[in-house]
Amino acid sequence: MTNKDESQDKTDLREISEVSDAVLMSNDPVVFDTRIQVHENGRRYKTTFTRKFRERKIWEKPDTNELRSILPGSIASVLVKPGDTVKKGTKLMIYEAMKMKNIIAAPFDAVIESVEVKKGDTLPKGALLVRLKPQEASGRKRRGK
Amino acid sequence: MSLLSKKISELQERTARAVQGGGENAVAKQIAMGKLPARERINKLLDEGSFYEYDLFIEHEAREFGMEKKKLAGDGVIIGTGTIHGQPVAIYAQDFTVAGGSLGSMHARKIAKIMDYALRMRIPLIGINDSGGARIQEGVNSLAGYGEIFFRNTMASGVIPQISVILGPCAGGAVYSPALTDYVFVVDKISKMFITGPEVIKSVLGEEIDMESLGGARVHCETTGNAHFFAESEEECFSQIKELLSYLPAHNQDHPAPRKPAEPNKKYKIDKIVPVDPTTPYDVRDVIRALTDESEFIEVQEMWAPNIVIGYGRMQGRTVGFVANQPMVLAGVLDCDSSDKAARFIRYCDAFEIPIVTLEDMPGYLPGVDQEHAGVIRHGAKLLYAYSEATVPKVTIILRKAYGGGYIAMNSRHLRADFVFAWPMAEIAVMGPEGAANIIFRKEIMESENPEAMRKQKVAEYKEKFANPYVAASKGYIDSVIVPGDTRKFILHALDVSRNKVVKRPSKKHGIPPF
Repeated sequence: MTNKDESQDKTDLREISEVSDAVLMSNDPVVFDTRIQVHENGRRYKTTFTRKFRERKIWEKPDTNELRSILPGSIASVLVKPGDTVKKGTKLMIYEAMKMKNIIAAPFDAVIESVEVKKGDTLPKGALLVRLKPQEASGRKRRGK
Repeated sequence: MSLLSKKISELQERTARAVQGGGENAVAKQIAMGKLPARERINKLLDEGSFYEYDLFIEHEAREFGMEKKKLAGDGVIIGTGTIHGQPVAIYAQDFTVAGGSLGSMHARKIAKIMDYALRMRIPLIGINDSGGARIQEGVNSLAGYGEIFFRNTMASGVIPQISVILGPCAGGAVYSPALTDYVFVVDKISKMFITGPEVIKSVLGEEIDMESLGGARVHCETTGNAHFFAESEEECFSQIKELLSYLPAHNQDHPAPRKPAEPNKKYKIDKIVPVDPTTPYDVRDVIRALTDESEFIEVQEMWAPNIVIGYGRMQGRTVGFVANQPMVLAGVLDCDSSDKAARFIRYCDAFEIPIVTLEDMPGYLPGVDQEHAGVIRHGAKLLYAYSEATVPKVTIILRKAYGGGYIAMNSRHLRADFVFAWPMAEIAVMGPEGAANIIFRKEIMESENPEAMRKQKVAEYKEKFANPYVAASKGYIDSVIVPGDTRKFILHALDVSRNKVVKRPSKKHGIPPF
């Protein structure tokens, strides 16, 4: 009855701001410096990019096997070394940030593949701390705490 | 056969046909997708046998594209009233087996009707969403239908609890009804919510993403904050809804049904949970459980912005809303998302006359370019606004750290907390000792022969002088410094005392919160 994807595609495209009807040039969107053109059924739409849009980060599937720093801070202690087997919840390191000795714990059962930091390192937000290799046997169901 | 029994059997035939929904095949397909049929969902959620259905024989109004020849059972939505724990509720459930649960004008009119009932009768409204979106054949009429629903959501907001349950796709404009309601429940692998789907995103922007990563249940619970409760199955979801409703009143001039008062579970010992060293993290939810009747606590938005914890518990049988910094996550900082999350919860409690207990232990607002550029000023202001605006009884307990702007924001005396209590290890100051000493004694430290030793000495001096609750107590900014083990006693008394609280506010149409 409804073809959800197709029908909604049309509506949504028009909302991008219709400028003119033009000839369909290709199936791919043509991206200019500050403008984007999109087409649908031989129509073409133009719109101006904002700076925020142009500078946006393109979404990438996050690698859940990498643990990264969540705040700018420093490593107070490292409690594991490469090759260690850890259970979900095992303390991997103490990360000092915002007046707190934050506990970095294993999000799932894993083997430590590599430790990228050492005690005393001062790090920005998003720095790679540990690379994990998940242990499949126990399952990787997480509920994000 | 008498005339009456003939009439009755005709009714039974018609009913039997209508309740089939989209027919056997469509229902089998629904089940194959791991979803329950709409009617079964209602029956599982409501008290057994309590559901009364209305508008079963509604017919759609589409007269174009061959639609006039089609019969759509109930026009793809089931509406009615029933009870949960004996309390009346109004409910609608979209039936995906009928035309993909698509929303046409009669479908929308049915939803609008049950919403009107709910608002007029002052009973909670539950909407189960499972729909492919607007019924394209009905054109602008289906858009009009959405608009009617959104308007009613807004009118009912703050009057009756509104709950949205996403049990299938909910895409395009349809997402705004759940977004306007109070609580959104999602189920892993079943719920999908987005404005534009992966196809559009790919064709317009060239970004590739699958549906689950774009708008699955987990994404809305962890990343967007659109959803409030995450379940692994529909059954779990229904029991979450029942539990939440037990804490809420039927409407804004009612009180939640009180339970028999009970003591917290002895296993939660408040002074054992919180380490005296302010740099050691702990789970603040255990502190809440040490305070509530039977240690029960239902957490709202558990997975989004977990650096602040919000949710309901009972104290002496009555519902209390809790807002607590979570030192275990992101050091418990305030940031854009946590301010947003807490602010909306505070307004909810205020709208439904639920007292608010705030547990404070945070180092302040999170510094950083991304926070500043994400609008931490605007989002942070929501928290100040919500606390200032709320007129329900407001009690604050300062457990350990209360620094800077965060101290003001977390329901301080200055925003009109009714009672502020602090534990003896509380540190209430304009900023942390390290930062403060570096600024105040900058010259002494720089000119010293041994700057590092001098810095340490000055930090210690500052700590000694200001990192305690007594400076604030000496000004009356906190009412009492209390022994941690007495916290429940003090809160209970404060809530008792504030039961008949009266606040006069300047009259206005409405305020302008920093949305």
